[in-house]
Amino acid sequence: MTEPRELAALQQWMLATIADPAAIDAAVVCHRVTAGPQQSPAQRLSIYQHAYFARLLDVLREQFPCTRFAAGDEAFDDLATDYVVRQPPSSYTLAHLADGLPRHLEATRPRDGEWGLFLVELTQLEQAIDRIFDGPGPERLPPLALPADAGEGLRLRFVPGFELHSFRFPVSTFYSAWKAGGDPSWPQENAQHVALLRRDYIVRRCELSPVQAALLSALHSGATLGEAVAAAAGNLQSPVLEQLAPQLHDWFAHWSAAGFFTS
Amino acid sequence: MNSHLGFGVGLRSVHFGHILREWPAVDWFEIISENFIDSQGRPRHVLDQIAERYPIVMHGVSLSIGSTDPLDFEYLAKLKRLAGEVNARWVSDHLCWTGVLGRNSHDLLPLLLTDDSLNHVASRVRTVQDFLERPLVLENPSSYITFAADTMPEWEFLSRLAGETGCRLLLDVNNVYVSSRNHDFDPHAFLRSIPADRVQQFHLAGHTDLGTHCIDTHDGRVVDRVWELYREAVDLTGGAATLLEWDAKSPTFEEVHAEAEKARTLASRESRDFGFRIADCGLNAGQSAIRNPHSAIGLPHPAHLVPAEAE
Repeated sequence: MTEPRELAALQQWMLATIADPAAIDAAVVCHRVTAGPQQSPAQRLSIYQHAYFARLLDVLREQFPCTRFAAGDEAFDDLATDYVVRQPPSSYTLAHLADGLPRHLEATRPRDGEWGLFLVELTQLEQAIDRIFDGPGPERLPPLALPADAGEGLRLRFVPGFELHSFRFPVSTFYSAWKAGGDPSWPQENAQHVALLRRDYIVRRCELSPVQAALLSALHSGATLGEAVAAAAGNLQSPVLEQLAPQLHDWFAHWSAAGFFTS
Repeated sequence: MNSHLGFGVGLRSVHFGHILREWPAVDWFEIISENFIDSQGRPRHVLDQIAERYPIVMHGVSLSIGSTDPLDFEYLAKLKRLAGEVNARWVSDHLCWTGVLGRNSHDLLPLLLTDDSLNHVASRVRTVQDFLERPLVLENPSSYITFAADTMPEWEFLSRLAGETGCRLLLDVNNVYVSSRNHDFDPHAFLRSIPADRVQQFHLAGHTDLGTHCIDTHDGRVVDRVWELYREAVDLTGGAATLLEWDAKSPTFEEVHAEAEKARTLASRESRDFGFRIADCGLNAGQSAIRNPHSAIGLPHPAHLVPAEAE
């Protein structure tokens, strides 16, 4: 199947024109597009140009509501417009529109402070929520009831869609405050570890201590229970280490009830 | 596949909860294919439950049948699989192109209406139909431009395409009206020129009238002029499955459903035999909303995204 050359040229011209935020050149357009009853060719073509950016911005606003709140409407729209101009969509689904947004923001954020990193991490959190919401999930799998006599050799199987994230800013706390209808201020840098998973088709977040994050990270990488505990305890000082053992049972009971594992 | 499914409603995520609680008396649902072909979460879970109780029709926005890019067979395979899994009664998309050179505008862009373009699209329709193992149903989109190089009107292009490929037509009556206003053609001539026996389905929706032109915004009631065209289309075709689309400023499900039910009233034999006027049927609530062109302009259809639900 060969495509007609005239059609290909016209399509390439039209897409390049409407995906460019610059004003449409009326002189060029009138050779290709007819005037309407009450509109010039350029005015008519600009309907598609307006729709192109409005639609893509709408999707990004909807996918990153907390980042938009944090950045402010105008700044968010500027960032989003810059993103869609530099990385125009290529997938058949708008669900992939924002795939490159966190990386784009990371590459373009100002380097004279870390405030931009907070926004980058917030987009990473919201993108993960989106990914987990409609990705593989645990709903049809049996939950794991941890055996009382679980030994050091036990390997735990995490539910599909389970993700662990480490942030330099407490983005999950910020997200919770925003979600509750609050007006949180931008936080100071303060590392935060978060487990994300889906249960009953809703995405859940679980904030973790550094030791819990290390333990789950090792388990998620395939380590046995014994290996994971050793890895998590590796950097702990003696008094903290002694407190770890009695906490482990409670942690695993909580994580198991929260649906982290499957049998 | 030529079954008259009755009067349906476009399935939108804002109504998921209501539908699962109430199981409303809707004849059938139409889904936006792209919202479900990759879903492994709640959207698909909801669809599976709905598909057990209602007929489902798949309506896509990304086939890009008129593009000069190669067809995306991975996408087509996903369409085919979902169609089998939810027992889709038919699979439709638009007579348009959405992107080129690997890029996607996520808009329904107008085709160049020439013989070369028709041959190109017809060849692709045959390929898609062979792959899907079913006739494709193609919709006339709203358009805001026509090209200087066009050599035929849209209705001739559609009619010849249907004749050459055996594809069926999704006649969007609102789009006929919107395009007729934007391009100054006679919408009745459009309806009379379409091969009536090829019409598989009708679409109805609201639009935004900006005075100088109309935009297919799907954000309100169907206007009286469109109801009049719909009744004419029913007379010409003998009736077909009819679907009400309402995508933006979504009201309650009951309100959307009530708007769809107006089509049943208007298409009924009694209404047509006795020549009821639109006003007699109580359908004249949907006056054209003429808006100030400088006010916020509604976004043209399509916009498809199911927002995530998170705690």
